[in-house]
Amino acid sequence: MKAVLKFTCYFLLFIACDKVAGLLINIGLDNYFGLNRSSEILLIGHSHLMLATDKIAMEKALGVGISKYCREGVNTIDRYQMVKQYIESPFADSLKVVLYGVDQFMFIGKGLSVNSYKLFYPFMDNDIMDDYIRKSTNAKDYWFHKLIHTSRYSDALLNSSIRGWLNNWDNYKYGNLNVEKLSQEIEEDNQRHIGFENDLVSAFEQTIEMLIDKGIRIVLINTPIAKLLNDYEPDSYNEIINYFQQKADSSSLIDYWDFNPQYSADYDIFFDPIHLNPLGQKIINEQIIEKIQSEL
Amino acid sequence: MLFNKSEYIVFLAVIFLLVIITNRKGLLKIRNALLLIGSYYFYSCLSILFIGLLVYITFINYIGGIFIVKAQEKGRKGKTEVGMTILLSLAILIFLKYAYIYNSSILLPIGLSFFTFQALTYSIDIYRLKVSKEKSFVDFALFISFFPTLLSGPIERSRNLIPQFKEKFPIYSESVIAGIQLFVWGLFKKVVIADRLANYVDEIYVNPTMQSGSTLALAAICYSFQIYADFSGYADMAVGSARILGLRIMENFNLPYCVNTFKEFWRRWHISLTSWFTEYVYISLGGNRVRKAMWVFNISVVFLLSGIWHGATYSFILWGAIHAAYYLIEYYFGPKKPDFFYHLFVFIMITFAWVFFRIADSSEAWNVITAICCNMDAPVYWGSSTFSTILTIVLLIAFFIYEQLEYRKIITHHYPIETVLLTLLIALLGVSNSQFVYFQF
Repeated sequence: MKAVLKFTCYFLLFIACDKVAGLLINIGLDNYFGLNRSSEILLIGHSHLMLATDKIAMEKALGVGISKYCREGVNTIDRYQMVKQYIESPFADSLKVVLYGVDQFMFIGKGLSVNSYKLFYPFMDNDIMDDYIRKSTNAKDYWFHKLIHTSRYSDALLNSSIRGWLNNWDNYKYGNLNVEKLSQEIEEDNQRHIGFENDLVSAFEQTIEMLIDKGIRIVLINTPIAKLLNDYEPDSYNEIINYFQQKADSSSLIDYWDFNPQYSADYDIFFDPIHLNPLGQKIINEQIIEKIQSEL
Repeated sequence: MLFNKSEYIVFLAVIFLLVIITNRKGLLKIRNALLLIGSYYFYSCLSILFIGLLVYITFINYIGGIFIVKAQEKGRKGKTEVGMTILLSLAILIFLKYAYIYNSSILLPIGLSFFTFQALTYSIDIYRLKVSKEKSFVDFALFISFFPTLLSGPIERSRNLIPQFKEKFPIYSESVIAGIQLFVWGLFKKVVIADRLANYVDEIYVNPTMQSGSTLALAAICYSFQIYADFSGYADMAVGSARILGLRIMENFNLPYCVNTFKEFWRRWHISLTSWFTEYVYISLGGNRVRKAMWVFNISVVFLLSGIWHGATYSFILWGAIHAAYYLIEYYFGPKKPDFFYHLFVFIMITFAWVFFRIADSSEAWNVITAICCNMDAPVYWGSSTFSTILTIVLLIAFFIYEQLEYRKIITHHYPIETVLLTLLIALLGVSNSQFVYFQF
């Protein structure tokens, strides 16, 4: 009997420690992604937009609050949930503009995380994310992560949480694009192809509708991708760029900013074909600041 | 079903309940039969195809035992019978290991080397009159297939395990808690230390020639700890599982990196295999009661066989030969009172030997060692995620300090609060991406 009591005490201690650890990590994450503050601007995207923008420099220049909710490998279905998570939170009243990262690969699943819903395990206590995860995973995984808070985090999330606690929002990748290697890969036809997968297009359109219904401006922002890659499939590329432009033309609340014509041939600003290095980030961030001032 | 999967926890809980219910006089045969069924179920979850091999090894050694005893009853020693049993047991092991080397599409049964050697302890001990013939086939089959030791040891002796099956298991709350604590500690070693280190080591060893000497040195050190945490983690989970059921099986590791000499290292690394070779090969060759030249030969044979046991590739043989050389050089030229620097030297030399263990191509392993010795100027590459690698190294340092405290007897046992903390760390930082390294043997 004494042993059972002892065992129960340690089990309860585990539950308590698990809960507290989860809570502390989530405070850091909320701070890092700006999910715990009323912002005027919300940045939504994956690593492409993450490395092209500097939240602190933007806030300083614009004098407004910015939530940078960019996650590596998120597709448009995930982004729909991310936007929903923010705009249905108590911090959404001040939101004026959503900068939504777009690129020619956003409507194909290949190249992004297959199980990207797992990125949202930390937010399982949020009803929207809980519902999304429950529908995406099996019961065993769902309940395991639901019950054990500390099982919800990857190293990348822990890193983000620590940075959230330290108020460090730097996103840098140092280095330069290997143009020769990219040319060779293109010659070998070893690149992702542009495509339109219905579920991804539909999730994107739902996101736009949801924001328009709330009267929030949307800027579809296409930060530079190496020209070699843009020229890889010119017809498909033009088709998707026209699609974004048509979307922008369809509503006064939607804008489309494309930085490719001006910068995609400047290979000094790239870390790799789709990600900018710190020099590229500085240039594009300044351009965004300049353009966004007119939106506020 | 692996020890580090949730299915195993459920399996162990069910087995525990069944043992609790049947662990009373009059029901012991049922208890052992249930354990046997459970052990076969456990093995079938991993490789149902190879159940036949398990049955084969069990029958060969059980029948071999009967023949050895019959020969002894007729006044003979039973040399032919034990020889045939050993030959028939090892033939399948040698055939599959060699076949695997020449045709990697052939599946190597998990745990074959372990349960074959475990079975042989029975036959050889009968021949040496150390144990008597086992009457219960169920108990004997359970000894061979007992699930905690089945896949990666410890390689138990029949004289230790079978007598425990005859008695009521001494299951007390203290032993169950101690078993759980040991299991959690083993799981921590596996999923927090070994598997995290594996992520970095695998990334570097995919193409070692592209890496700098400093990076390869870090990867080599990481691999030394990876293989230790992986294998000793498995052993702790095995011993912990057995202890939960009230059984005592031998320890397989005893802080091997905390020691100062090669000799001491081999007393504490893979204890059950080292003691197996000592008892069944080294002693048979005359041990140390022979001329010095013969003793050198005996030691060399044991280390070479130990290398071959892992696989019949040049790398494993070289690994065994390197350790034989270390052992003998230390015996003749080693310091009488090893200090810290000799301790460091021993660890570095063991780490070098592991490079041959990790890299199948021995010429590539030489290139790695050359690069470590000659190309240390370039900076260390921390892997695709610097944060993950640094976090892993911090965890490794904490783990090593903990082991040092254990070695110096400052920490004498695992505390329940420590188990709570370890469980949290397993949930938070554990990765589960690989089988146990020693499953391949």
